[in-house]
Amino acid sequence: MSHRTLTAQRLVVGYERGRPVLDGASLHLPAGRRLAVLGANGSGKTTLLRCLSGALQPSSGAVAVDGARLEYSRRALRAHRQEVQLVLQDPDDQLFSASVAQDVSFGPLNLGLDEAAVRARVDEALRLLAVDALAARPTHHLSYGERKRVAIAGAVAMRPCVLLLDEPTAGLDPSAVAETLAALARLQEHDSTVVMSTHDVNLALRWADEVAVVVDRTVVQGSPEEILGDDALLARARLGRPWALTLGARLRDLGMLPDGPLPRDVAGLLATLPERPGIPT
Amino acid sequence: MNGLAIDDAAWSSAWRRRSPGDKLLLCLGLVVCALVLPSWPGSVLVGGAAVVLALGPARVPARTFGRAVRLPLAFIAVGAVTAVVQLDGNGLGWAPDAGTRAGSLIGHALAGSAAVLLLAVTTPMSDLLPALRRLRVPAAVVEVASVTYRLLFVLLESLRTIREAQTARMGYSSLRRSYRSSGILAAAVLTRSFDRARRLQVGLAGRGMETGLRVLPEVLPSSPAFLAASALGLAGIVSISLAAG
Repeated sequence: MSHRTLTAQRLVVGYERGRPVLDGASLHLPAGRRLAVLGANGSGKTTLLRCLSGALQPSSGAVAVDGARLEYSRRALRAHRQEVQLVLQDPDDQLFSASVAQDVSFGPLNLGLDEAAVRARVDEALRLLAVDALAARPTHHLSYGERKRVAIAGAVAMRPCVLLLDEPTAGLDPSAVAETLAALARLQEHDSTVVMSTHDVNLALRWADEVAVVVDRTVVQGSPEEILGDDALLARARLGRPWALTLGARLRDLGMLPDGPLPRDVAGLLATLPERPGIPT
Repeated sequence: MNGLAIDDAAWSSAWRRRSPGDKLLLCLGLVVCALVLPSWPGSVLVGGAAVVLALGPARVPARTFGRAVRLPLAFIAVGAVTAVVQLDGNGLGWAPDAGTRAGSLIGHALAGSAAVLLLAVTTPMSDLLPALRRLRVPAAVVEVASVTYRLLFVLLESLRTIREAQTARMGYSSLRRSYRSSGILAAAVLTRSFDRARRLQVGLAGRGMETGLRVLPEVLPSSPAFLAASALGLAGIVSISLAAG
């Protein structure tokens, strides 16, 4: 695996009630960065990810990896899928096999690898997602969170350069969210560029290097502070401002926080607050 | 757990890690014995062996095995009635050798069913399907069985959820409402199954599916000791049955 730059240029996709779902949407994913795609329900996040994965061909516009435009021939799509993998929101849309290890082996076998290489990839993917203890378990005995991570392992076993995750934390409890984010951090170290769609602005601020908001059938992209601090944009996108930015700005106005970037989460906020003698931190 | 009793038993059986080929050979041997040996004592020995092996070394819960055998038992009982009752000029009556025929039929069928159940409650589908592939069952058949098995649990979950939602809104509070709710339930699960299949196809295409649903089976090595014990046990059943016959 190695990091790749993924771009989408002026995508026009699908029509719903006479209007396109995406109309002129552009996106630039620099190699090795973590990108959160934000948007309200039905805004077109999944459509955008499906275009990037090659599952959906836009009416116009182009998707490119390292500048090479994606063609939609069988051979080109096969090559694209080795580099860019999409994990769908519902794990039951991807898991078909009776046992976890068998399911994860499906993708590597489709790449034409020999048995030893497939087994090595399955072990590696299960370990990265911290589901190696579930290898011999039946898929239907897993919890929703476990099924989500096994579905991600199925994509990771293909060793993609770019991993697209459609709402990987939706429906998970806080500990399962933490486990998923820890697994994504391990993937990042393994040279996978990760894109996550979500409508959780707090998660996006905490996790992402870049944020893209799908709004009015197009995409607005920038740094998390820039995009998530833009109240007008967030209102148009039917999203709220992250609590860390709201609280951080107020604390700064009150002179309790120094100038500089605002903290992105609880730990960051606590670390920047001034210490008082006699009050434990 | 979110499954079926036989499937749950197979996944938690002490024989789960045994080679499916070994278990297939043992159970096939027992089925052949059940069919060809005289019902006394052959069927009794085969049925007894299957039950003892399931509840003993394979550690299958007796309740699960009992529940699993109930349905074939009812089917066999109905089949036996049709074999021992005859209709002639005097009307409906027992066949001349009704007792012997019923005993033989029930003995053979029950013993064979117990042998097949021994395989079912100790071998999950994830082991059985690759074994079928090795036995040269057409790939398309194995793949359809594989996807049916997976979707079965997804749809069972849908069935339970919809039924609970209907029950909570008085959907089964009278006979008439029950008929209506059951019809809506069946229609909803049918349309969901089509939707599920379509979405699964999209998901699998993204994972590089082109020619079929190939997966790497778990390595479960054959045990010479198990095979030897199986051969010895089957030889014992055959010898005793022939000596008694």
